[in-house]
Amino acid sequence: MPLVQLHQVSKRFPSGTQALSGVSFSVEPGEFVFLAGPSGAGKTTLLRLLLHMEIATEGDVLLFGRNLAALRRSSIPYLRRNIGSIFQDFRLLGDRTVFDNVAVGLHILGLSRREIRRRVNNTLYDLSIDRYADAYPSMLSGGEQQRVAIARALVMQPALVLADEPTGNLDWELSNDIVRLFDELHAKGTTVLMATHDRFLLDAFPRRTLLLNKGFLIEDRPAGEGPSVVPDAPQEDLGLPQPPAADGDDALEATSVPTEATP
Amino acid sequence: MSRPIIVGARRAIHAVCEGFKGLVVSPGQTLACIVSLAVAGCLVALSASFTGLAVQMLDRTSRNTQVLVYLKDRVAGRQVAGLMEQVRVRPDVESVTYLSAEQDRSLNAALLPADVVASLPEGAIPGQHAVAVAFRTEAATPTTIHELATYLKSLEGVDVVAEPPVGAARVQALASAIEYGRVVVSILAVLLLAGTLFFVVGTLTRTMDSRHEEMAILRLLGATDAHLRAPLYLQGMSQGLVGLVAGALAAQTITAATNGYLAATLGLVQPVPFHPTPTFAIATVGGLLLGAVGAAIASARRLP
Repeated sequence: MPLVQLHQVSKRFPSGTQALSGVSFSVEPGEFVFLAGPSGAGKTTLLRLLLHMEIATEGDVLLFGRNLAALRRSSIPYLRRNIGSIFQDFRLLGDRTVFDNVAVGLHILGLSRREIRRRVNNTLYDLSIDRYADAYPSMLSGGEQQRVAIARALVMQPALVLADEPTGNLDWELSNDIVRLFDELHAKGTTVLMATHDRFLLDAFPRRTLLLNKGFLIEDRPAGEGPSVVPDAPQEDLGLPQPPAADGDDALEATSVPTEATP
Repeated sequence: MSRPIIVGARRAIHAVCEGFKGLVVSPGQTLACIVSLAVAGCLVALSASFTGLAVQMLDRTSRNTQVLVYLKDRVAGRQVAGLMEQVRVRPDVESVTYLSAEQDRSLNAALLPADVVASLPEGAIPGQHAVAVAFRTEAATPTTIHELATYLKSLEGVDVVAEPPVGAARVQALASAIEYGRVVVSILAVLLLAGTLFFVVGTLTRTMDSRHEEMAILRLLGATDAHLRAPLYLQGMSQGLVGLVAGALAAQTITAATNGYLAATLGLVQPVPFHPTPTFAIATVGGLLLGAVGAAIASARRLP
């Protein structure tokens, strides 16, 4: 059974903006999938649909085999406990220590103090930020803050991690570190769906990639295949940064994808 | 203990801790909220006490409302007994007492200053044998007093029917004033409580605003509505409880001090009533209820 399944999903906001149009794909348990596309492509909307923060206008969104549209409001929190959410802006609590930021979700589960301490310390250690347990987020670098945000998601031991541009505020090296972390997580069996518009990351980590543009899913590229471009649209139009010329352009243009979305 | 109970207890403890943290998010506003609740609670309790005093005094006045039926000099004892029996059986009559001419004279003398009485020649103060008819408290209205007076006048052997010491119209006016006062106090109490509810909602809203980001994160991590609301309810209810109980305590202190002062200076025998058990029970329940309503309003407005 796929962990995530979208069937002809469309989302139109009351303002009239069509964020997604007829998007269909599925993600199997244990997969690592990039959700790529320029700003405004619909990546965040898609992740918000999966978190049930938005409701699809058309189509079916199934998570863990359950149709979100048919889900009762009271069931949503229990569904979310299986999802680790990570954001570009970290969303850490500035007045809480790193330890407390990571522990914040564990109180929901009603765990004992000892269990909370054990889980948080283990997670901080795994992410190499255990020495910052008593520090406040403002005392940390962007990369370290993102690690704290990841720790907060992972400490809940989620079956699925949804990351919305987690490297958006980080430099290239830190971005690599973060994706490597997701890679390690994936290696342990966690399903990862990560939204990014960073072409370099897609190059560096050849994973299955769902390419969105203007709300359409224009490519579902399997893992291991080289990066692709939209033939008639320059890279800037997609909002993707130009990869370094030395290892980029020729390879990028080697694989083409259809410009028109399949409805 | 089963696991769900343990988990529930841990969540409850966490909610209590978070609720108390909420109290210090904006300490000034929390203090202002508690003080306003205490003032409102104190005023309501004092209003109830003083209205109670007024009712007691009215009741006392009503009890003292009596009609004096002066009898003709030549009325025989048997006729007087018959007349008294006729009056006693009426449902609006509490008691019927015979006053001799001497007793009536003594009562009249008691109305005058002692030195005046001493200066008067013997027999200058009038006295006439009479029957004092006291009303039942609930029956001491101008209508019943008038009806009874008319009836008494029609009886054989009756000379004059005197007006009650406190005029019936005045009793009625006092009763109306107290009733009016009760209505005004009730309206003021409702307005005060609405005002304090505004304070509670304002404080909780501020707490929620300061924790909005945290609540949004908790939502994403799988917090239920109950998990997010529980600390707010605890915060609101603890504010309400502390505020109104403090107000009741203040009212009790003020009432005791007032009674002590009045007894010492004016020799007042009728103390301002204060009933601790119902007052503190109402303050406790009211405070919890007020806090819960405030939390419900605040969370309905601001919960992410």
